[in-house]
Parts: sequence; structure tokens; C-alpha cells
Amino acid sequence: MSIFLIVALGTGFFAGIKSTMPDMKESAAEFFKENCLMDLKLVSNVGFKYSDLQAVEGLEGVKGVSAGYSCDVYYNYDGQNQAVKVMSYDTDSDSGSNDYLNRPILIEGRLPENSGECVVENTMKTPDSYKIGEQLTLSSPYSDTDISEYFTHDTFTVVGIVASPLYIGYERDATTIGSGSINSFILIPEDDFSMSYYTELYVAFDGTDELGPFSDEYTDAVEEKKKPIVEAFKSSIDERMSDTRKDAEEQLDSAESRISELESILAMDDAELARYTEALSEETEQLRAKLENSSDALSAAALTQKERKLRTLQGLIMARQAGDSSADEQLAGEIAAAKESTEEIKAQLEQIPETKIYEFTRFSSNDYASFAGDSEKIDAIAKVFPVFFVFIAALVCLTTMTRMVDEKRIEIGTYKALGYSSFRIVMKYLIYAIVPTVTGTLIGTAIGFRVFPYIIYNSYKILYNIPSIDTPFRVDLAFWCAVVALISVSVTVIASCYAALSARPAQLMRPKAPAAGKRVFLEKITPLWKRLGFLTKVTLRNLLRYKKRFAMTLIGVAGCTALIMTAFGIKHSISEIVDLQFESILQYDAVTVLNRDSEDIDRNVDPLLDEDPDVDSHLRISETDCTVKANGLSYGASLIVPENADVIDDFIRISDCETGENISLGDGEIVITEKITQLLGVSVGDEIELEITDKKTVKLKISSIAENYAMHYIYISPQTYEDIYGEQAQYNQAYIKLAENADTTSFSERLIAQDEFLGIVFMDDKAESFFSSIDSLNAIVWLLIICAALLAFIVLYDLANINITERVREIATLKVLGFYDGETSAYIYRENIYTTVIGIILGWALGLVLHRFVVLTAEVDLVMFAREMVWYGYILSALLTAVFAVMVNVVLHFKLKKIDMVESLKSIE
Amino acid sequence: MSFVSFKDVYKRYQMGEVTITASDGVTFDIEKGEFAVIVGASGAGKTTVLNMLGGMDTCDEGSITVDGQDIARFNNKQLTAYRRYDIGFVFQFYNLVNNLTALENVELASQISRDYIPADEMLKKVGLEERMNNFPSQLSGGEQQRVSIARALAKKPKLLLCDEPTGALDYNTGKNILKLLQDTCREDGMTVIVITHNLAIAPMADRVIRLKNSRIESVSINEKPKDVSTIEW
Repeated sequence: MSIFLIVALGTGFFAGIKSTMPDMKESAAEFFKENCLMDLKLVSNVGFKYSDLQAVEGLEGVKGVSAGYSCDVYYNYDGQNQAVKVMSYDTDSDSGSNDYLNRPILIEGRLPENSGECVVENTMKTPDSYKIGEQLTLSSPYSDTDISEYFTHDTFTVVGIVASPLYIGYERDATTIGSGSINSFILIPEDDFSMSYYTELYVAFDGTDELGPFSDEYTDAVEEKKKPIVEAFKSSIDERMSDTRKDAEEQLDSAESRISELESILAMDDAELARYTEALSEETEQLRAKLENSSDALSAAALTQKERKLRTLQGLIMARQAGDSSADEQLAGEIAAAKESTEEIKAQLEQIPETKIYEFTRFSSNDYASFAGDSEKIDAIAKVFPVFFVFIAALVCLTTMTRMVDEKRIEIGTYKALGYSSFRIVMKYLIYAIVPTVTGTLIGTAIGFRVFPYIIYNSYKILYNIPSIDTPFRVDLAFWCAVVALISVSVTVIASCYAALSARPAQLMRPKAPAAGKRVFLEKITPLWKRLGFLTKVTLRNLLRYKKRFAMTLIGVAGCTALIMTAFGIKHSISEIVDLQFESILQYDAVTVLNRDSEDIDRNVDPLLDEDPDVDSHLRISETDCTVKANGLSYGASLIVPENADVIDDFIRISDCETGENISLGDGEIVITEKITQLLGVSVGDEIELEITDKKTVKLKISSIAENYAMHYIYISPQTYEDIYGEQAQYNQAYIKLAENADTTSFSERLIAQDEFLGIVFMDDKAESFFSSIDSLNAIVWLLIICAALLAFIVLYDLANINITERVREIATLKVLGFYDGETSAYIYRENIYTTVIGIILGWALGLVLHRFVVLTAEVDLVMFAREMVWYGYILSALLTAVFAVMVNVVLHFKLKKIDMVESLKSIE
Repeated sequence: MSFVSFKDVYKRYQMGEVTITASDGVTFDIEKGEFAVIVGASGAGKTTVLNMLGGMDTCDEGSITVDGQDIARFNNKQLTAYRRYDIGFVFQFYNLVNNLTALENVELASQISRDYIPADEMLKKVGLEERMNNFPSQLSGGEQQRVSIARALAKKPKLLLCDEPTGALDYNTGKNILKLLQDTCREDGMTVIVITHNLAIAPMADRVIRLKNSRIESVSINEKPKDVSTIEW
């Protein structure tokens, strides 16, 4: 029975945790496939037309394309403008078509069918007011545009609630309106958009469904397939744009020639005018004559032009003869009008921007990437714990089987005496052990496969809205679990039988001599030994008498403590970094992105922020993505250059990772954060290579390493930057410390409304989203604790049980001698208590190692977890282990009570 | 009233549908300071009497009085206290704790008594002065039984109950043990009750109680008990 339990627990735990990652990924893949999630989204700065879609449609490797409109507008909710992303939904969508991508999943109600209807999304960020049947009024985010420029209606009726495979997490797209981020999306019929060009092109590729959507193969395939598509898309738009440009240029040319013509006419005096008119009328006559013989369009057009010009001239002459200057004025007016129109055309030409194509893959969404990351984190944990459980399971099997073989000595002896071969006898016990092993594996894995992914997944469900998880029974994994379990059980059985079988039958038939009493090493320290109480001495000696069992119990208890400690430790290590990073290191409250395209940005920002009542202090910085290389490895990092290196301390605490002392950002100093130095294997004084796009690659010497937990940074002073690159840093962000009681909503709206600022991120929001992802770890912590508890119960109970069965006689004797029930239990308990205490202490040591290992394994490149064990990890692990031990002891108490004193009178076997 | 007195004691066991009467109206008395032997073939009901007298089991009917207390009416806790303070028990197979030295085995009993004879003194008395710090496995059967007796006596019990004390011992060693028990009775005035199937021991006792088929067959009193050394079997 205990073999069955421990095997079930071990394999169930392993199989469950191990299958969580594939389960999560496969469920997501299935979800994406079912709802035809796009592989690539293309957006151009000039929009695109149906012809551009056609250019992409027929290309090789394209499975489906769909074009859509989207725009970000306001939706007034509770007196506040919420930024909503309005996307188009093609009401004619055919579910059999490959072109129907990013299919919305209907949760309630129906999809929009008629104009004026919309569906809203169901996520947590959606205001509660979204209910089916309600009206939704949208308004334009810009004061100079009307909502009708985007839509044919401004009010939509909610007819359904949906989820979209495009958004599997919390994050919605960034926007330039409102507070800088979208709250939710709504879908309206495509025909309700009044925009003249499409904004988004979604593409699905052939053959990518078969690849795991988070795999490298998928990324590579998309990377490869998207090239010709982007190319075709861009050239199609370019061609269209260049046509437009050509037209405009032609218009400009003709207008300009007309202006110069008119100007020259205006400048002529009467005589010249008469001469010129004469010449012109002659030319006209000639042309007319020529046309009578052969008609060609070009000449006809020239003739009309010439005739018109002639009329103007004649009019002018006549007017001048009459002394009337109005014709001159009229001509001047015409020139002015023509000039105006050329200006217009020029402006238009200038406005035709160079076509830019933005590509977005699935991984462009942080949520998509972090979903993969989260499932891999669990896998990292799966690497460690099961090994532990298998080890313990093997130990339990060993004790149980040893005990069984001991009990069956005489039987084994009889078999041997009867002439059975050792092999046959071993087989008998093997089968006895294999049956519970196999059933244990089957039941354990069956439960594990279902329960673990389900629980873990549910905790992630707060973060992701992938509807459900499939938890298939993974035959291959179960098979390997069974193989490992069988091997370890078989080995223990054979090992424990071996001793018995090597004995002669006659020897076996005699009862095994009871283990002789022995002095323990402690007795040699007489002064100490003398001080110990009688019962303490007895307990110590008993513990050391059954060394194997003692060791086994110790391992069980230590394992339990270590598991619990690791569970709490991991949680702490991860949650601690939020505090460390967002409270203690990043001192600023918000970071705003500056609009480098805005004129005089460098001069305007400081006064703007100075004037704002919600701003306490601010610092402009330059943040540039860069690649850091050393020892043949390379990692991405951010190069941070504060405008004023002296005050950086007020915004970011840069302190030495070992001594904790503040690092001042002196000129020539290169300060780099801790994790990346670990990844690169470099330390102070080593050289790193810094690569920035469009800039020369430089070699820098690390002068100090700073404490930091999330992302990688390199800090240098503006002077250092200038020395390195020979130019000033471009300040593209500003750190802001808010005044007390600052209203973040109005502040961010005020800021975004200004041209100089593109967006703002509040550290509190960032920390919060970080926190919520950590909350999901709670489930894992609980899982570990429950497994640890089960482990403790099985191991402690099993061993204590064996202990009692072997010592029934002794216990019965104690009872006859007049020990009260409590005293009898205490006599046995003492051993358990001592073992538990020693086990807990060992467990602490083991827990430290285990915790460190898990933290290092689970850590992703961008993050450094706190590696220290938290104080309550020690206390809680000890406490819980003690509680489990006490519970086992309570059960044992009743077992002890039941022992009959008559046992003491029986003969020895 | 006698020191130990069984009056119409019945004990029945339910074995499936069959009721086995293990004690069928057992009645006998033992006086203080007597050396009593309860004899009977196996299955005669000796063990049942021993269990009830030793406070390990209760009777269904009748009364068992020891030193004026009716232990038949005791609850579990009182029975434990009775075993603890009033009874010294000597087992057939000695039942020493393997993991304790001779001295410690005796201490195990004295640990829990209110008034006790120091363990080393007690071992001296049974002649194991030299073997005090040996473990049971290092002692011979006779020596182990001496330790067992020492353990029983260290508690200063009112009654020394011995279950086949010679059963696992050879002839001479057995005799020595019986001698020790007899001496304890004679010299210290201890009431000793020996339960055995060995009729040969009977002549050395003050009182011989014979059991047969769960009943008392006879109770006889030896006016002149023989010395152990003169008995042979």
C-alpha cells in the first residue's frame, strides 16, 4: 500500500508538472488554430487599398489575408474618456474561408450583423457598463476632427461579448491618445467605417499551424515567409504612391508654366502685346489649317489652349485701349490664384510621406511571449522536484521491501529448502512490488495529468484569457514514469532480497536475532551523557540502533521541510524583486516618452514639466537599445544617459551589487547591471563591446557593477557619451517624480495632449502587472506544500508504522510495566520528535540548496531573482513540517493504544 | 480478608459464534507473603487468570481483590496505575529492552515508580553486580531472567507475578531462578505468584492452585514447603 501511494505521488507529481508546459502550449496552439490567429500583421503609415491586398493575396506561402480598419477613439465612461480600439468586422465572413482571420470568440449574445451594432470584449479591463443591448457612444479624441470622419455612426448597440485571439493577456496596444494605452477593443461592421483606406493587413501563412506556435521553428518560418510578402506589399503601396506623386508633379508643372506665361503677358507693354498677339494668331491659323487636313488630339488641345490665350490677349488689348485696367487686375488675380494652387499642390506633395511598413508578428505582443515564458518557468520547476520525489519513493520502497523480506524470512527459507531457485523467489517478491508500482503509476499519472496542469493553468487564467486547457493523458510520459518507477522498485526489491537469499535455508528458518543493543558514540562523552535524562538516553540509543530507518525518516522529513521552504522561498524571491526594483532601485514614479519629432523638444520639455503642479522633479534621459558582447556571448541592454549625472541618484539608486555603496556616475565611468555581467561572465575591469544601431561599435571597460533585478542597463554620464560617440546624447525620455497627492489620470491626459510627449508609464502600474503575474505562483506554492505534506505523511507514517510493528513486544512490555498510554506514546514519539527536529534542520540546509537551484533555473535572462532565503521560509517550513509530524503522531497514538499487552507474553516468533 | 482473592470470576471470549469460557467461576485466596503456584496444563485457563490478576484484562463476572482493592471494577487508567505500583511482572521470555543495558532496564521500571530500590542495588541483590552495564544480548538466559526479576522488584511491588519464569531456561538455571524467587518471598516477605505448567515446582510453594478446564481443580496448602534445591524434575 505504501509503495502504491508513494509511487502514485511521485509519478503523479512528475507527470503532472511535466505535462503542464506542453498542455498549456498545445491548448494555446489549438486555440490559435481554431480561431485562425494571424501570423503577420502589416501596417503602413499611409494606409493601403484593396489593390495592395491583392498584391499579397496570391503570393506563395500565403494561406489567407484579410484587411481591416481600426482606429483609437474615446468612449466616455464614468466621466472619463477611455481609449477604445475600434476594429472592423466583416459581416460577410465565411467560417470556411481561409481569409477569415482572428476570429472573435463569442461569449455571449451574437456577432454584429447590421450597421450600428457592435460587440465588446470580455476582459477584466472592460468597464462594467458593457452589457448587451446597451448603447455605446464614441467620440473623437482630437478636437479638430469629427467622429464622422471615422465612422458612419457615433452610437453603437452592444449585441455580443467576445474574446479575441489577438489579445490573450492583459496588454492592449499602445496608443497616442488618452493616457497612452487602450482599455479594450470593440468590433463594428466593416461598412460602418468611413475611412478611405485600410489600416491593417492580417496574413496567415501556409504550414505554420503545424509548428508549435511558441517554437523556434515557428519563429524561423515566419521570419522567412514574411520577407516576400512585406516586399510585395511595400512595392504595391510604393507604386500607388509614386503614381499619385507623379500626377501631382505634372499638375504642378503645368500650373507653373501657366503662371510664367501669364506673368510674361502682364509684363508686356502695348506694342509688344500687339506683336505677340499677331504672332499668336498666325500660329493659331496655321494650326487650324493643319488640323483641317489631319486631326490629332494633341494639336487639337494645343489649339484650344492657343485660342483661349488669344482671347485673353485680345480682351486685354481691347481693355487697355479703352483705358480700362480691370483686365490687368483680373490677370493678376488669375496669377495669384494659380500660385496658390501650386502652393497647395506642393504642400500635398510634401505631405506624401515615404512609405513605411510596420511588421508585427505574434511575438510583438508581450502577452504572447510571456505566455510561453510562463509555461517554461513551470517546466524549469519540473526539472528539480520530481527527481527528489523519485529518490524518496525509492527509499520508501526500500524500507518497505526490506521489512517485508524480513518478515518473510521463514517463508523464504522454506521455499529455498523446498528447492525453489533464488530467481523464482525474487520473482515472487518482484511481482508483489510491481503490481502496486504499475497501478500506482497508472493512477498517479492519470490524476497528475489532469490535476496539476489544471490547477496551474487556472492560476494563470487570471492573466490570460485562453478559454480552456486540454489535459490529455500522455502515454509516452506515463510509460517513462512507469519504467523509472519499475526500475527503482525492482532494484530495491532485489537489493533487499539479496541479503536474505544469500543466507542458508537453515539460517533463514531461525528467527533473525534482534538487533543487539549498542552503545552510541555519545556515551563516550561521559560528562554529557550523564547529564541527559534517562528517556533521552534511551531515545538517542534507539534512534541510532536503526540507522537505516533513522536516515530514511530524516530524509523524508528533511525533504518535506526543504520542499516547503523552497516553495515559500521561490515566492518570496520573485515577489521580493518587485519591491527591490520598483521601490528601492527605481525611485521615479513615471517615465514619459518624448516626441523627438517635435520642434525644440530639448528646450520645451523642462519648462513644461516645471510648470506642471503634479510634477515634483524630473530628469531627461536618453535610453538606447544596445547589444552588449563579451566572451562570444551577446545580450540586449539599455544604455541610459541622464542629462545630469549628479541628480540620477534621486531617480535611480545605482549602488554597488556587493557593497551596497552608492556609485556616482563620474565621467568615464561605465556602470553595468549585475545580471548581464553574470550572463556574460565579466566583472569589474573586463572589457565589453557595445553595439548600437547606426553607431560605431565601441569597447568599454566596466568600472562598476550595479544592483538591479529586472532588465539590463548600462549607465554613463553625458560627458562619457560625448567622449565615446563624439556627439550629444538625444534625450528621448524623462523620469518624473510626482508631487504628493498627484492625480495620475489627469496628469497623464494633460501630458499626452501636448505634442512633446508621446506617452507615459507609471511605475505603480508596472509594478502591479508584475505582481499579478507573481500571484499566479501561489498555486504552485500550494501545490508544493500539499505534495510535501503528502510526502511527509507517507514517509513518516510508513516508517513509524514499521517501527511500531517491529517493537510491538517492547511496547507491550512497557504497558505491562505500567506505562500510561501517554507515556508509551511519548516513549515512541520522542524518537519521532528528535528525528523531526534533526530532519527540519537538515531540511533547512537542503532547502537552501534546492531553493537556490530552482531560482537559478527558473530565472529568465532579463530578471534576477533575490537569492536569499526569507526568514519566514525557515519558520513556516519548520512549523508545517512539525504540524504534519504531529498529525502522524496522533494517528500513531491510537495505533499504540490498540496494542495488546498479551503480545508481551507470546514467545518470540 | 485474604491478600489476593478471586471470587466466582468468569471470563468469556466470543470467537465468532462460539463463546469460550476461559474462567468458569474461579475462586481462590492467597495470603500475604505466601509463595503461590498456579499450575495447569496449557489451555487450562492459567493465562486468563494471570492476565486478570496482572491488570492486563478485566473479568466479566465476579470480584478480584488485591490488598483490599477490587481490581475487577477498575477502569483502564486505574489498571495501569495498579500495574505500575502494585505489580511486578516476570515474563517467560524476560522481555528486556534490547537496547538498554541491564542497569537501564531496571531503571526503566524505577523511572515510573514512586518508591523504588536503586537499580544498582537491586542488581547486586540478584547477583549481577558484574554484568550491570551489559546489554541483554550479552547476557545468558538466566542472567536475563535475573534482570527481569530485578526490574520487577525494583518497583517495590505488592505482588510479584511470574509467568513460566523457568520455561525458557535449562534445568539448573531454572532452579537458580526459582531459588531467587523463593528467597525473595522468604527474606523480604514478598507475595510471589508463579504460573507454570510444571507440576514439579508445586512442592516448593506455600499454596498450590490447580486449574483444569477453566475451573479450579484444587487448592492445597503445603505446611512445609520444600527448598528448591531438594526438588528435582
